[in-house]
Amino acid sequence: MLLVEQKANILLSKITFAEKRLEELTSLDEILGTYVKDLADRLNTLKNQIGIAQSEFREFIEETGFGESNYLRATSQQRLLKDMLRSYEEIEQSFYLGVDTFLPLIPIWIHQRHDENTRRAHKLLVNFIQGLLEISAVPGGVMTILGETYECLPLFWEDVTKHVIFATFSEMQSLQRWVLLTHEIGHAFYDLNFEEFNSSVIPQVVRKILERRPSNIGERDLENIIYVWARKWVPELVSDCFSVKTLGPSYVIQFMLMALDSEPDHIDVTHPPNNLRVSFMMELLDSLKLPDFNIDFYRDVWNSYSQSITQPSSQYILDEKVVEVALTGINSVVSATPIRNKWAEILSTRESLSGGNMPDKDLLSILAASALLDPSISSDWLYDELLERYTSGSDAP
Amino acid sequence: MTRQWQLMRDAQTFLEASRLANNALKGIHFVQIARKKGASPNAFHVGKVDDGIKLLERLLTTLEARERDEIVSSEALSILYSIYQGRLVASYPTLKQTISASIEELQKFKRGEVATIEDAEELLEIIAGSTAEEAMKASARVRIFMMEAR
Repeated sequence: MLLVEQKANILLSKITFAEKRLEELTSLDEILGTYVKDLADRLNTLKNQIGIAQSEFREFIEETGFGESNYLRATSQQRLLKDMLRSYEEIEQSFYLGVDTFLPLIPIWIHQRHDENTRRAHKLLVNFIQGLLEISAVPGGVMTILGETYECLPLFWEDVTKHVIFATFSEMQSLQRWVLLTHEIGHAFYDLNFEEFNSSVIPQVVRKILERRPSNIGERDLENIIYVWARKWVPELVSDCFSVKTLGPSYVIQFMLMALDSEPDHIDVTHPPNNLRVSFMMELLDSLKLPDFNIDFYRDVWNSYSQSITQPSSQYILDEKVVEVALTGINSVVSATPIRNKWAEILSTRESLSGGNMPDKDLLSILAASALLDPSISSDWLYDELLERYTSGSDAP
Repeated sequence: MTRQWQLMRDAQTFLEASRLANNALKGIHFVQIARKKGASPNAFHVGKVDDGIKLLERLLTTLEARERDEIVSSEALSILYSIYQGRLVASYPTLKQTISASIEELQKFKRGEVATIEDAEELLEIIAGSTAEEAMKASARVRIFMMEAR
């Protein structure tokens, strides 16, 4: 059997393995069920792609007489062989990105839902995420896993985009930190509304980058900057905007805690500088005009650090007109402001929690309020109370 | 989203672009081999050349649209990024000319009016190669992260 044929067989055996794992899943819960169906479709597509690659390779052998005992000499034949091999590379990588990354998460999800040590915390977390999805009108259930850090794994299966949200295991009981997950849901929101961003914000940003191009910037650097803004920074800023408009000050305060570092103006290709992000969030909070919230206090707190150590950049990537167009555009597309309706409830919940009382409020309000609590007030009791209230009496969410 | 997960999105986009360019190259090379033998090429392979034409048209449209405030193809932005990371050093006007000429060349090739298509083939090879390379880089970094996370 030729090496290429063996390669195809290995890929097919990986697909068979994945299909068997899916078949073995019994009593699928509502959330996992939606992933399994889409993954099965993805596996079928990959299988078809392998079938096409195999049949093309057979045709290639017929046309060229290729065998493993000698090598090809005609240029078009050599090039075609390269194309054939590249097809297999693409399928292998697609399998890795769409299947190998996700498949091991299924047993983790199931384990965390049932294991005595994680079951209740996991259920609470899933409840919180469902609450976030509902308030922000992001449809569907999202698999949520207690993992390494707050993050969102996007999965692109044909026309379907799914997400898996991770929360930091070591912060399982630090409930105030969970509001940071809003940013991760924001990525799902971005994907859901991608066409709108792609038809409005991104063209405006790209246009402004081109318009403001300094004479010493070559095409390569320019493409870099366009790519970073369009594919990295805009989605991150959209998620920030979404988070502020969903959970307001609760998110901003916890974000400041997370983002506080020695280089607030550091330019990272994947994320905008923290100073830019915080100042955008402050602007958004200002525009929300939430009552009984002293935004200047928090702005001063951030500035006391960042202004002391800041090294403002004059780099073209942070051109003020480009930034302005991006932030204005994002703000106008992310139009919903659920926090406006939720804010009063969050404030009253905070009052109760400050007095050591568990209010009869929804989980989202309680966690958002906990993020606003005076850090000197202990809220250790809250975790146990919430577990009791939301997770007793059943095995799984 | 952490930087490693962002790479998932990039890798997917680059892979899709590479797949389209590679499809077109396969079509071109199958057709060339058949024609050299004096046989009439398989219509399926001739049709594959369209994948390349569509890809190049999307690139050209994006290059033009982004100078105005018009919708751009996000995928095309990634392709432009990847080809400028690699071997391409052309200025935008030159690139636009090359893409237009390549589209025309591919259409003539499909109709059997020309036997060789050096410019279009070279451009598609640059796209397929550079996007595949970017996809490989991105998924390699995701792979390292996945191992660490587990």
